[in-house]
Amino acid sequence: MALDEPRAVAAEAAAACRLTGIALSRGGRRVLDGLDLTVGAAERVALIGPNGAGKTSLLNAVVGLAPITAGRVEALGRDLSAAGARAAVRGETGYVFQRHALVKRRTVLSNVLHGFLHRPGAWRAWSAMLAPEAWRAEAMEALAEVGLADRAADRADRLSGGQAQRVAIARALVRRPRLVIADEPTASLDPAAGREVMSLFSRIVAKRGVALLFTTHDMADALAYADRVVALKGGRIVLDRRAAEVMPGELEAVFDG
Amino acid sequence: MAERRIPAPPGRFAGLSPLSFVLLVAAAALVIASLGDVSPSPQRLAEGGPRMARLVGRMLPPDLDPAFLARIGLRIVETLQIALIGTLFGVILSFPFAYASARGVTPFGPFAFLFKAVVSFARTVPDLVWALIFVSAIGLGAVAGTMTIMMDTLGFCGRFYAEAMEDAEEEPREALTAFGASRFGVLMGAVIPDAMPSIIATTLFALEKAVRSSVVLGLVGAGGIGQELKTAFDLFQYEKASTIILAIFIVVLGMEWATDRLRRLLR
Ligand SMILES: Nc1ncnc2c1ncn2[C@@H]1O[C@H](COP(=O)(O)OP(=O)(O)O)[C@@H](O)[C@H]1O
Ligand SMILES: [Mg+2]
Repeated sequence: MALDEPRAVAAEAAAACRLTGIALSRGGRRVLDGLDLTVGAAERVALIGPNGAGKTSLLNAVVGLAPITAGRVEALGRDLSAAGARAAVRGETGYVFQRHALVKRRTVLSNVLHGFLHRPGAWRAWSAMLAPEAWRAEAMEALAEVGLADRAADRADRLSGGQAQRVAIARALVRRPRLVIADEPTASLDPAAGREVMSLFSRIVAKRGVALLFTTHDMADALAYADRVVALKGGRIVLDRRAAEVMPGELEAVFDG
Repeated sequence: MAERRIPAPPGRFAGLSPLSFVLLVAAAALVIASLGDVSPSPQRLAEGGPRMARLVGRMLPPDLDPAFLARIGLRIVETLQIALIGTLFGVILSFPFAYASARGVTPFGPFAFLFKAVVSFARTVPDLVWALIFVSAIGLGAVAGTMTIMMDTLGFCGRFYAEAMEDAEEEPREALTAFGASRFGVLMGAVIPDAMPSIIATTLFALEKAVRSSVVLGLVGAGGIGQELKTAFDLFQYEKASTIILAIFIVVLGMEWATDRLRRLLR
């Protein structure tokens, strides 16, 4: 565990992740350009910005899914360029996607168990049939936390959009992550379901005291569920404020011009 | 309203380039020449009709001698065993080849085409040719037939399993990768479950195909009912031949009925 390393403990106290001067290109285009961002250990940060601003790329860079061309990524006290750091960081990160990204033909329980695929003996997380009793119990606990324990045996494609996203959240939480990353978790939901998912999500994250970095197109969500709002445009940060201090109309202005 | 001039329609043969015209004429010439070479002439057809009738006459009634029927029954069982075991081995072999050659799934990157090439080779060599090869290599009998069906199945399932894996949903794969799952973990957790209906349909079809081709493998000595059919024709025992043909008919039909039922059951 990271807690055995003194250096890791010191860094952890400071930040869940720290990006320093990162640059990133996609398809020959420069997407991020010398960007700095630090997310505190129990901080909830909303990332906003127009389509193509590089929000998804930034989230992916934090866990090493998008390779950076310059700068430094530290996550959960580890420099991502160090050997084995990427796997270790992914192991302690929970990721929630825009579309819930569940395996449709598998049960809800099997999908939550996929959260254990980074563990030793990962083959037992392929399906609920193979999983050890302890994992199954932990998965049921996570499902209960999102209010879906009674749907454990149902196939994932029988769920509504909001329920599926809650299962995706359970799948991320069963990993006992210290950092949760969510890429437009409500974009595929109707407004009511989106609010329900987002308030549940941020409540659980706050209760567990872990860091949350999420992107959203909904300014109200950004203000309601984050401690801090960061706006991205043209590969740079154009606004970084505590949610409580954001002026009316300030966020919307990011999207103009 | 301003007067509108409607342009004349394009010329009738405007779409036909000189090259395609030449190719068309060449194709027509090839068909006409081939007609003369290999198609039955009216005279041969006229002679063939009565001969065919005589042959059918000599085939009737089918030989229903119990001892003969028992032997045919055993041969049918052997045929089905060849089809079943050959398909089983072929399916087992197809999974690693599909995994190794499927785009976006393979751990071999640019070398995936090597595995695809092996599968293509297994597919493009006709089954009777595989049978001849295995009969020469390991001798007459059912084992050569089983090996043949195995290669046939590898060529078929190896390709369609790989396609099913390539078509598996992108998002769950990315999700499991982001969770730190290995490539194999992603395969077993997300790709295979998503590809399963397609994999099962392919497998049932492969089994059907295997029964149909295991019936004729005996013609080149690779075991099964085909061997009896060849012997019957070689010895002019047409009554026995008709019994065998009827048995084959029943088996293939029964197989298609069974796989149809299975397909409907699994849907
Ligand atoms: N896999 C990719 N290949 C090529 N270009 C990409 C890829 N992913 C993203 N991009 C480009 O990178 C830019 C930033 O994308 P992204 O990070 O997804 O932005 P956002 O999430 O803010 O909409 C966009 O212009 C997009 O077209
Ligand atoms: Mg995005």
